[in-house]
Amino acid sequence: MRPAQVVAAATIVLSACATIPEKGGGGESLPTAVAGPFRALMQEEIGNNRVAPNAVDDDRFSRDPSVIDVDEDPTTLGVAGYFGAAVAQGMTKPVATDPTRAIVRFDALDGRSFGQSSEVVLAPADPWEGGVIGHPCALHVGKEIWLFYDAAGGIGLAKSSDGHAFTRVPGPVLGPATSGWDLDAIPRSPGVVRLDDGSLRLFYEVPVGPDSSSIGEAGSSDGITWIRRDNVASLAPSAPGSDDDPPYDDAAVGSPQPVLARSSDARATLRLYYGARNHLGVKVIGLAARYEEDPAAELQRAPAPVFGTTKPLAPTEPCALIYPDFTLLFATEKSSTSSPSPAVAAAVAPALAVLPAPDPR
Amino acid sequence: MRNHLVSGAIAALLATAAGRDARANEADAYGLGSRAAALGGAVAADACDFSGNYYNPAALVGAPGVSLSVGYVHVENHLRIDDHDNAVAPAHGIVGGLVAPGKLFGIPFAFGLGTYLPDAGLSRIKALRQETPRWALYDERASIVFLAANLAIRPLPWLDLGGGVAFLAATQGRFAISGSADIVHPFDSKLTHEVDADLTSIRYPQVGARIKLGELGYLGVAYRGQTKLELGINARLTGTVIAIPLRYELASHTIDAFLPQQVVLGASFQKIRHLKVNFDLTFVNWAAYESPTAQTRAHLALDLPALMLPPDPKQIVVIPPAFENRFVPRIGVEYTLSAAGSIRQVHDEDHRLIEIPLRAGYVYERSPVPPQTGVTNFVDADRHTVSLGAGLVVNAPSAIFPGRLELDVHGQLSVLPERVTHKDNPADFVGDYRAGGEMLGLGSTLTAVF
Repeated sequence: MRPAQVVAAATIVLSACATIPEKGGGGESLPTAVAGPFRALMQEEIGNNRVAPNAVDDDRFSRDPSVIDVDEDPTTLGVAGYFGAAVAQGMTKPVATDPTRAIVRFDALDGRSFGQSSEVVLAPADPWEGGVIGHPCALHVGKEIWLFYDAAGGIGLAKSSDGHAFTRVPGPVLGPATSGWDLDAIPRSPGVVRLDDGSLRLFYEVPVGPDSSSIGEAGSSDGITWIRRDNVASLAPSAPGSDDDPPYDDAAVGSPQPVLARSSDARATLRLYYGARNHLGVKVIGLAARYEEDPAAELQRAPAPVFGTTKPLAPTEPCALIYPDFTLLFATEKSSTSSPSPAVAAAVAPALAVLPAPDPR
Repeated sequence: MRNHLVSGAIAALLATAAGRDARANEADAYGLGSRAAALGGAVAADACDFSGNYYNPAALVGAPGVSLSVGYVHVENHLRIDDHDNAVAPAHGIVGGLVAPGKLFGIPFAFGLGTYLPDAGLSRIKALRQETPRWALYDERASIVFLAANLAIRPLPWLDLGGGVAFLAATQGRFAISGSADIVHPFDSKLTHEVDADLTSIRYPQVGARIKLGELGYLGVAYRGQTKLELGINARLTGTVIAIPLRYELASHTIDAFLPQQVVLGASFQKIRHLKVNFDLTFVNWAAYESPTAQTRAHLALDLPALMLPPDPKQIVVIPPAFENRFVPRIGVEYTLSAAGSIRQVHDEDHRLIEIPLRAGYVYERSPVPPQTGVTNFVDADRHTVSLGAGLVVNAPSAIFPGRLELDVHGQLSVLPERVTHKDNPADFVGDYRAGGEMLGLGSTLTAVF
């Protein structure tokens, strides 16, 4: 029976030696919708003398970003960013609380490190604008760039062939509703997406009561004539929850920005990023979505906010740009916890994404 | 007989000593031993070697003589989600065991020991959020020790009975730090820590029976109990930070390495000389699967009224995984070529010097994981496994070794056809995905039958 004893002894020795496990696998290349949650960019991920996570932080308090891929090729990183900006009134420099009175353009070669200088591409001109314009939303339509914006009287549209010189479409393309749930309310903060069939879908913020807002929706084939959808808000503040688990958007939802995405199984999904505020006054960025195979379906919320939970910087006015392996999010928020001045922060999802080196560093 | 009892005592001692670290799992996923793996695991009525320690303890009593086996198996996992390989760790380790038959008061009996020892470590535990995608049935199985000890008897000439225990280790731990931390003068900090970890073995039963059907062959039935590792840790941090009393408590509990209870019905048709055709049908109670999501409680207390502390982390609401029971059919065919050499008598049977068994098997395992349309992401797909194997048997090679030597090899290919998961919530952070892949296993076992 000696062989049995040898085997037994060998087994004991092997058991005693093999006590340090090898690195476990199974965690690489896991699926993600690259829809969030987002983490703020770190300093080494942003260049052009910008201070992370702020992609734009200037003395015109440029904010409310709308960032588009310059060449519509998601494998290249160059972008143009359109922002609402305060401007000097005569000899008076703008202050942080001034309304935006111009839309300016910054460019970034790497998709997030915007240049230090900007150009004004649109300023108030028409009476209905009331001297203020802002909350731009830019998108490619054919060979043109269309720029939706809000002003005192509603939502306007300007078009450009080069992204620099814009020509207005007369009058607001969406003014106050004459009936329905948002009767007489002036729509603001437009977000527009072009669907696969070429039609346009507009989401907009509507004030509801003294301290709340909801998100409405309208459709159009030409960007000029819009038909409001249904007689209800597409997204309203969620119902109050318990004090132990309060919702993040039970006070107000607004500043919508839609984007069309595709799942790995090629299902078209309309994602709507939005600014959210709860009854405690805490602001975060939320996400709701629906499958385009059922465009009549209600928007469903993500299980958690996608940005703004780690620092009390009150993010709002999100803009998401989808790349093959990651999504960049830009949002207006306080430039720091100690300063109320607005800046535009940049963030990325998934959290483990590795961005190409900043350009310029 | 005395030698048999000595080996049994050694084996029992080994089982007791190693039991604290043993967990059963690998044999279930990839098979135990080259012969059994080549036959697709369809050996519940035909496992008279050490593999009977997993497949059916009762069959051990059918061993012709004392046998010792040792081998090696390596399984590469190529499991992909959305065409990206997830680098699920390979499984590789040493397999082996012994069977020691004899007679006690005139009744045939046998003692058996079977083991799989991963050669890259004895344990690897991961506790993931329930939203995190993971290959639920394969990612956690690669580094699990299998150890089982069994006894079998033949009370009637046509009836074999057997049973034994396999082992699993549970970990309960406590971790505490107390003292003073001086941030300004860190070298003046006085901290003491205390770690108390306990590995407690959990035994689970396995029993079996085998009925001889005359010249037709055998019927077998086996039962394997449910096992799971319950892992817990309690941590407590107390002390003062710059003269501010602080207390932090953390408690975490998780389930790992779950193996469901199983009932196997098997048949082995052996009427035609040199040919064995085996069928097994296994009922696997996956419905009892418990979520491996860690449940954690944490609380920070600071005796400084002016400072508002962050709230305790929310309790995780664990979503029941709702796995489904499944039946697993297996088929295996073995044909032994009498290849060369003169006739030898080994264990009262005539054999030529050289024999070459050829084997093939097939297994279909329907995924027990329901469509992951909600928050959880237990990734899995149906599994088709085709196996091939061969052996080289040398009967009575010399006068001083009247038994036989067997060298078995096997190859095993599992194909997991792509399974598409569509999420109900279009705002799900993981989104839709496609999962599938292949597994390729190779192994060899050397057995000496005395």
